[in-house]
Amino acid sequence: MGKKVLVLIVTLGLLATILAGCGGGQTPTPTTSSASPTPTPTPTSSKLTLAAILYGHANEGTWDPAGYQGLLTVQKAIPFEMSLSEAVSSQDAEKAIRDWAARGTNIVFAHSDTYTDQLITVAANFPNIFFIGEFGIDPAVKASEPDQAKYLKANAPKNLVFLGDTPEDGNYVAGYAAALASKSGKIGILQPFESGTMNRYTNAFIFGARAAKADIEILIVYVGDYLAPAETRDGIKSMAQQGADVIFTELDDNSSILECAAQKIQCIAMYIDKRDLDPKTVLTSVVQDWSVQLKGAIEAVQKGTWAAFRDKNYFQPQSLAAGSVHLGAWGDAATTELKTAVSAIEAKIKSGEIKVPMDDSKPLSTTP
Amino acid sequence: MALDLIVNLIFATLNILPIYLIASLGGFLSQRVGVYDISMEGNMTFAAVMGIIGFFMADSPWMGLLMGFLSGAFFGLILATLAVKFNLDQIVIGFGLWFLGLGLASFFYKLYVPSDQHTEGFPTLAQLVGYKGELTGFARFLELDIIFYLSIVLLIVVSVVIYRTRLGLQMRATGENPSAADAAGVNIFRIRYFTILVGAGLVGVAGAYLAVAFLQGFTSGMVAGRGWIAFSIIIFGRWKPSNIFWGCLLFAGINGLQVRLQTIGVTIPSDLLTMAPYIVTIIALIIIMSRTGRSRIPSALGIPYYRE
Repeated sequence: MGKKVLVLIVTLGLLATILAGCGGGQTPTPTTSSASPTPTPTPTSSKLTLAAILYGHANEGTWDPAGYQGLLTVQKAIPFEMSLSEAVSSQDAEKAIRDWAARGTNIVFAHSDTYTDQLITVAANFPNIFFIGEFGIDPAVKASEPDQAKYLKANAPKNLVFLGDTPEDGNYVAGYAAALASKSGKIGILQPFESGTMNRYTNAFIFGARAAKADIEILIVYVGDYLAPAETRDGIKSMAQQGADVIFTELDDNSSILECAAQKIQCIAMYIDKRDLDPKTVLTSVVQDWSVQLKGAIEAVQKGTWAAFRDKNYFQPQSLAAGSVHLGAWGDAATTELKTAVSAIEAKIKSGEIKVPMDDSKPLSTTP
Repeated sequence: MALDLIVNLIFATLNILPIYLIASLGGFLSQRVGVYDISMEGNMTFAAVMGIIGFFMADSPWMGLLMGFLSGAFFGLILATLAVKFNLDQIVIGFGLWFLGLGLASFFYKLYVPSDQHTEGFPTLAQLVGYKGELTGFARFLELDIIFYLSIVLLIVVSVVIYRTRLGLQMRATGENPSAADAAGVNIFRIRYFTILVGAGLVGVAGAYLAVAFLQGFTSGMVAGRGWIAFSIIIFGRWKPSNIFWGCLLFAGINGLQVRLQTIGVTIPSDLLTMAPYIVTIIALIIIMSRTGRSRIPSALGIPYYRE
């Protein structure tokens, strides 16, 4: 085999890896997805049927379990038959969504922001099926991607609603807690990559930290993907070596908790409550409780009130007030003073006294 | 401050080195006997799952590595059978095995890996010698885990076997001129089967190590191109173990450097920094391969052997 061909093959392989890592805009995006998106029915005991499309597996990482747990919670209140399509890449999503719709499934829930366009396309072809998607941009908020929001509002069919992947309230409180818990005056945030949406999440954390301590120093590291355990651990180690003693991570695995434990510092996890994984290390978690948003949509299908529901809720942002995002259980290191102070700030956000700023400008590792 | 940063970078590099070194040496062995193992990425991904399964079988990270080796050797067996016995196109086989690895990983993960997966990593040298004090300066070598030291031993063993033993001579002859080696009495098929199995097994060990020691669990996509980087390091190292070692140091170092540049607030776009290891790999490959006339590529690499 010629040398040129050899270089070409390796280059293509590496480029595929780079592009896979860059592909995600707003959601956890495993770089590879090999399983067939072919649906695998899991019957329960109700006539209402729902198919969930997951990017990874229901028991893998933290993002997909968050969505799956949300469905299980709703299922306790509203019986429905649930089926899963797991490990569905963005490229395979339209086929999986269309497949479930063609089978006459009542509701198709696609648990990733990267499925937005596919949902809009398929939903238009199946007006009698109800679709629930996710989107990281609240159209009511002026962000740097207003065109996307306008596109969504203009194009989303009437049988489609979007749940907001907008945990900014939670990130703000996490920043507040991190700054108060820090003894070194230096905290960190570990993110997969930069994007307008991701910047808003990061900046919400920074605003919260600054609200607690105006002089707090904040380090930021991007590891390139939601799943990059070696880089994640090195990023945590690097920030710990720079003096950070509380680190917030928005990644889809537990490697950050392992490294925080190794460095004997505190971490704040994301998506699901990870306190029980290591109570000595996990200060708290920013929990996205999808059941809060899912329940309204599924109930509307069940009760036949979709049209009225959709008029008001074609996009449901997450918020502390609604309970769709909140802090998880406190770890062992959380003091009573910290809990009290955080409760007070949560109450102010819930009441509207504090409005978390939506800033998608580039955040910087910074000293005040 | 700057010195601390450099020291931290050095140890971050050494910390991640075994993943690249073990995988690259494994791939090198296969190529040394004339067979491309394009499937390293898929092999590592499948071995990562098997490593976690192995850990839970015996509650031991060593069992995880053993399972990683066995799963890798399984890939090697398929590769050897198709490429050596049936003389099929090695690139096509490799791509097929790459995708097979990704699919098998997903399948076995779903079937056998518990959702509350959490493994224990390998002991550091400090833990093995019972040292509990603070580690500074060169004493920080004690904070590296035992796999780092074993990977260095592996490098030495591979170098000695390849260049200082009769077996190594037969392996090199098989990769350079199988007809002549065959005429001299070397059993080409046995040498290739054995070497590919061991090489692919080592690639599997690297995948299992990544899962058991770094993530201490498995998630899809966790190998994240490391199999391809390891493959390219073999080319970068011009099919020589000592060069491969320096290549691994370079790529592991770039990984650590990009993270540290971010923590000190360097204003290079983060996307560029996180892509740096891949970009450097591609550039290095192009430079290395464009240096015609000095290539050490095994002459029979990728060429099916038909016994006359």
